[in-house]
Parts: sequence; structure tokens; C-alpha cells
Amino acid sequence: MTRRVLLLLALLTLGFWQFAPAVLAADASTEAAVKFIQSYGNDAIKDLTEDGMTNLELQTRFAKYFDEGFDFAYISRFVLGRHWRRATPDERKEFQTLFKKMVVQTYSRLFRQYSGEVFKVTGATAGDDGGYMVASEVIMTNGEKPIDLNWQVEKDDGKYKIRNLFVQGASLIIANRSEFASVIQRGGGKVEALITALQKKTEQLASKDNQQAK
Amino acid sequence: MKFNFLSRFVFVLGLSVSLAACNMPPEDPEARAEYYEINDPFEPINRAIFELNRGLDTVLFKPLAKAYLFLPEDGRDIIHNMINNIKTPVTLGNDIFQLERERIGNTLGRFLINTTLGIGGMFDVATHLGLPYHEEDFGQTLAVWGSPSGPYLVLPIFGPSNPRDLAGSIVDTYMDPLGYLFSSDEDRMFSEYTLIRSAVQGIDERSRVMDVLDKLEENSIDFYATIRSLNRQRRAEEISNGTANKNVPGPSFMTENEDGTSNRASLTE
Repeated sequence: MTRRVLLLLALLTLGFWQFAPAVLAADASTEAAVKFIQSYGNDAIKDLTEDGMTNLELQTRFAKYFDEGFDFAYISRFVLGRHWRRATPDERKEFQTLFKKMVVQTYSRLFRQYSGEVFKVTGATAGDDGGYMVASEVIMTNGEKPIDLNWQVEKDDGKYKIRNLFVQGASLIIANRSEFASVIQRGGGKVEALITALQKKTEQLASKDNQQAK
Repeated sequence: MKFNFLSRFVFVLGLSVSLAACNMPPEDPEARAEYYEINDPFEPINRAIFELNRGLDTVLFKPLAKAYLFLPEDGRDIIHNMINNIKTPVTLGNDIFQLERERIGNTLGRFLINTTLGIGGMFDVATHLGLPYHEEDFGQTLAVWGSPSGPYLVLPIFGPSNPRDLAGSIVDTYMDPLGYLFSSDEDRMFSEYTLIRSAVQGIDERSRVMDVLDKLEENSIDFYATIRSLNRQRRAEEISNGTANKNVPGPSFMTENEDGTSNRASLTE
């Protein structure tokens, strides 16, 4: 009896408060950005999760996707922040090479563990400056909650480019920038310190990949 | 009694830390801006405690979490659901403090459904009925009320925090009705109930981030700084109830200045 009353009470409560998730409106301008992200994600999953790929092959394919879809010139400048200006042209170049190497090494691995998760774009909003935020989620196969991914997209020369990715609300390029600033600061304010650290890390990751391949 | 000792200990620790191991703001204006953005004046001691925590994690928490993972998944889900259900009254209180009308209904509905149909909170029936789980704590309430976070702090065992969240967690302990049932007034903060609950909750949480933390550490060149940034961003997201980055907020969004610095980034961290 009590249980029935409680259930009734619960259902009444539910009725009073709407709990339908807010659906982001997709108009004509955001539609193209939505399409871009959805097909980009689908293609990547299809291409990068093929069975029997070597690490090198996976990384080559991932690098291709990364170059096509991401605005690396912007991202690499952003993550170096105020140190970008202080860096010499050589340092900038070396930093970009190593940073990209690390991105490819670390993110291509995620596709190794792919087990049928579904990538779904859920909406998009347009900014005043011609940019878009495309919201998506990765629906897990192990019963855990979906992972929210938000993509910051800019249109450049008629082509969409991704500038930032938010995982569960956390901006990856801000996390990177914060980390790199800390390495530089602890290395006596020298960009060189970051380059050395990146060199070490990429070598370490590469040798780990080699070990796993054997 | 214990609390008295602890508060004195924290006070003395805080005082000596602020006098001795404090990073002073740098001269250069840009470095200064970065200093305030990072908001970590106690970095040296925070790093030391961070390393201590990593050590404890290696020898204690991670092995415990790994052992916990040997339990069947259904059993772990029941434990997880019961902890979540026990937290509901505190969440409800904070939903009310924050005047989150929709969430008050959600929390109330969840509690009633899961306590009854979910048999004392063992099963999360409410999520299947369209009422997803969320958490609110008094640290978030203080933030919504406009309190600044204060400097970044790494606490022994408990990890990343700040004065606002620390104060919030003390208030939350006093908001938990079960605490009044299972502990005496002078013993609230460190009662067996609080300790056992925190321990089970901690191991459950640790077991759920096993892979993520391993990867993050492997992929970081400064694990401390990565955790600091991600933790702060996650907290901002929790405070804004997930709306922090859902919308593109106008023209200055992530725009880049001539010199390669960004307008918005400093606001988001």
C-alpha cells in the first residue's frame, strides 16, 4: 500500500517537472556542420578499426584523418600560448612535429579498443563569428553512460576544420596548453624544455608500441 | 575532539605553507596572468602531496580497486547504485539551495522510485524511466551562490580540491540524514559510517577510471598539470550543470589575438 502511494507520488512528481532533454535546434546553417562531423566520425570509425592493421598503418591512416579534419596550425599555436611568440622558427617547427607525433600516437590507440560504440551527433549551435559547436555522444557497449563529445568547428575557405574537442565538457587544447605551460615554466621558462620532454615522451610511446607489436 | 585537532592541524599546516612554500606572482604581465589563471600558489607542496597520493594509489587504492573488479559486474552495480541512492538527500538539499526546479523533481522522483521499486536503492530503475542520475554538493552550491574557489589544493588521499569544495564537503557531511542515524554529534566528520562510506565510494570510483587514469598518465608529460586542468574543467562543468561548453558564446569564442594568445581560453579554465 505504502509502496503504491509512493509510486503514485513519484509519478505525480515526474508529471510536474518536465525532464525531456533540450534538443538543440538544427537549422540550415548548422546542418552542414552537423553533416561534416557525423560523416567525419563515421568514416574514421570505419577506416581506423579495420582488423589486422599494424600500428604503423593505423597511425598513418589516423594522421591522414587528423590532417584532413583538424586545424593543426591553429591548435599548435594555441597550445603553446604565449610561448609561441617567444619560440624561434626552428623551435616552432620542431614543436609542431613532435606535438603532432604525440597526438597521433596517443589518439590512434583509442581505435584499437573499439568495440562497436556508436557515434551520434545530437545537435549544433552557431556562433556569431561563423564557428559552430557540434554536440555528439559516443554510446558505449558496456552499459556505462554515453560520453559527451563537443566539436568546435570553423569554416575556412569553404572547408570545415575542427579546432577543439571537448570530452565530457573538458577542453583538450586547454588541458594541453596548461600542461605545456607548466613544463616550460618548470624548465626555467625555455621552450626547449618542452621540446625535450616531448621527444622523450614520443620515443617512450613508440618503443611501447614496438614491444606490443612483437 | 578529532575534528578540533584536525582543524588546528590544517590551520598550522596552511599557515606554514603560505609562509614558506608559496610561489610569488611573477613580474612579467603575461606570466602574471598565467599565474592567476593557474591559481596554484601552493604548487610545490601540492606536487609533493600529489606524489604521495600516487604512491598510496600504487600500493593501496589501485590494488583494492583491482580486487573489487573481481566481483561480478551485477554486484558492483548494486553497490554503486546503493551509494548513489544514499547520496540523494544531500543532492536534493543542494538542488533546493540552487533552486534547480527541474533537478529537484528529478532527485525526488529518483529517490522515491529507486528506494521502492529499486529495493532500497539496489537497482537504478529511475534511469530507465527517464530520470538520469546527477550529483550536487555544497561546493557547487557555494559556486552558484558566487563564492570563488580559492587556490588549487591537493589533499592527502582525497586529491584535487580547493577551499570552497573543502568547506562544501564538510557541510555535506552535516546534511546527510543517515549521518545522524549512524553517528554521534561530536564524531560526525570521522564516524565509522562516514569513513566506511567514503572508502567504498572511493574504491568504486577508482575501479571505474582504471583505464582512463592509466592512459592519461601514460600520455602526459606533466601528469600533475594535466590532472589540475582536467579537474578544474570538470568541476566547472559540474557547477554549470553541463552547459559550460554546450553553446558557442558569441564573437569572442576562442578567437585568437594577433600574438597567438586566446581571449576565451583564460575564462574557461
